Amino acid sequence: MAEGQKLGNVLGDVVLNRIENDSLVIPTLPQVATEALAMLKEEDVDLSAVARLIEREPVIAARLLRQASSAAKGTEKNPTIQQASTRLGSQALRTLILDASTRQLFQSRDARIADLTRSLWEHSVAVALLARDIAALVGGVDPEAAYLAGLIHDVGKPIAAAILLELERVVDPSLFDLDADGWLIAVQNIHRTIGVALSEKWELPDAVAAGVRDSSEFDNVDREAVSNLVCFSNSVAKLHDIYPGNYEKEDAEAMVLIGRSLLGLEADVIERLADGLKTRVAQNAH
Amino acid sequence: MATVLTVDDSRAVRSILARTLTQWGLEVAQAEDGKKGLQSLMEASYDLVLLDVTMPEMDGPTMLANMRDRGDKTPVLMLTSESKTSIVADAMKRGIEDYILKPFKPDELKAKISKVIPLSEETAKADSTKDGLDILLIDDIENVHTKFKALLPENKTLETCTNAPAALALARGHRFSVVVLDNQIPDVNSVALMNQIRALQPKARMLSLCLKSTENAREEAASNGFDGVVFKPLTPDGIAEFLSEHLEPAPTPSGNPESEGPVEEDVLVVEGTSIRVGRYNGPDDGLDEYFNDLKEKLTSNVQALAEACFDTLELDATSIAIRSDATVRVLVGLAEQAEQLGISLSLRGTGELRNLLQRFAETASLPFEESK
Repeated sequence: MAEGQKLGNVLGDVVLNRIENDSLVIPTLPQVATEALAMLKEEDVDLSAVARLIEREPVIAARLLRQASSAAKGTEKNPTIQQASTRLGSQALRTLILDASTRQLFQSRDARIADLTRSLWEHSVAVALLARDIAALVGGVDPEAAYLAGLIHDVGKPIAAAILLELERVVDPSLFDLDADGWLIAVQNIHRTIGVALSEKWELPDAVAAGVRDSSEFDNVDREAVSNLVCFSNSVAKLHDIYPGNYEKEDAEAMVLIGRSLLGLEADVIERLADGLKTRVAQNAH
Repeated sequence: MATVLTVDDSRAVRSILARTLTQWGLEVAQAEDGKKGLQSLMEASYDLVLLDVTMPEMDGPTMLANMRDRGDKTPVLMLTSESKTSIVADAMKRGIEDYILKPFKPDELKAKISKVIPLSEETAKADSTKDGLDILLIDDIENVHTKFKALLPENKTLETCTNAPAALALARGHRFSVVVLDNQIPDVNSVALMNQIRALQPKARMLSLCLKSTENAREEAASNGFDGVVFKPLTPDGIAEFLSEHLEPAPTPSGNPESEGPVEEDVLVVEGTSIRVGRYNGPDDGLDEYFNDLKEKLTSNVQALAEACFDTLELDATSIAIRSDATVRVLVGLAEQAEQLGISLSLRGTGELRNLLQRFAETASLPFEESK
């Protein structure tokens, strides 16, 4: 615990210093993703051209084929990338590209944090799925923006953990003997700053970036803010044990109580949405 | 009469609450801060406290802590514009029933109060703003809506839409018995949409609308959580099968010696000012019970219509069992009751029923439309 806090202090100083010097290295979007997203911003986008781009990026292509075939029937179960792109449509395609690019940030080769980052990714997928469902249910919020905001709300954590590992040579190595909670404590204070920097670098929509920046407390002025959906879904996912670390259960329960009133949701609706969530996460996260 | 103490420093809020709660049949007392609230609780007992957080003199959390410290277990609903997690978490530890964020909707207030205090039947009924409909059809091709509607019996209610936001808006505003969802709507994951609608409509049956040629359609729909399938192209037989499977419970085979009493569908299906008599497929010796049940339910429903100030009633008696004396007795009783209550009654039914009713003075002159 104490080691985690000490490392957190070191990390905070380093990150803030790098931001000040404009030397903080934030992962970039894959080139193909950048180009495809730019094309998808166009009103009369040529989905065949987007498909040709995606063919060059195996991770995104595999994800696309999997998603298109899971929603397909019978003989349509083995679509080409061209067919899959057309079938999904531009909005779902944009989400899929960002989804595939984000999940790569949660993969670590370092055995000390690999399990943690994988569990954080599962938590992020749970928050994204819940946020999308709740956006659809309450209306007035774009479900895709809610999904993306949920997906990236903790993106700063794996990046911060990776930066910490870089510091191993210059910091007391004994501090790095951490369990999952220790790592989470170390990245807790700085992860949002990094997440916001990534949102800006990836040129994510403002509503999505706000999901990272403002998701620790509710915005009770703009009830339909995407960050409120992330904040609420985050607590629901934790209370359903889809989170790798310890958390304050009473705070999460209070968040759910406040969020239900703020979003106008009955308790039983939330329970139905969360029913089978772990299975859905398993289907979507890997 | 149940009593509620509202503790809020805003006179406007107290006044709105007093007016609203009084309309719901509750007696209301007011206090403008925690100190005065505690004083009120010492002078009288209340069934519920509606408690604000930020107030002069003594705030809500302090009042709550004082109440609990001295063993006062009066239920408390927090009604506040404060959404800070730590404050609400602390209040939860002290014991609150629920939390309502200002500005609040009367429906939410009513729903949360009614979990603590039973409200009058009339008040509770006014809460049920959702009307019941038979079918929600979601398909991006409008011609599918047209075909579906054309094949449905007139007495079935149908709402249609072409996309997910419209489907969810309808699901928020109505109660459906069956939701039929096309499995190939562009930009829509039909399984995700089905799960979202199910969260809003837990009692509705979810059916996947797919092409008949789809391989393993039933198995796939079931594995995705659907309750069944409807096949395209839509045919009269297909819709009849859909209706009997999902909107009208399957008839019990006639002559089944083990069947008892009125069976098959509900004796009555009520939709606004239209009442449809359900079909009876039970054994002959259960008919007396069927007619008694029918008479009792018709009487109570007509009474309810009158109480709700309706002055017309269309009775679809197409499926009523025909047994001359009993059938006529039920309908004569209905006609008399309707006349007494000032309700204009019209009937719909088979030619056989028309002929039967024309033989009796009380029913011969009733407006009658023959079913096709």
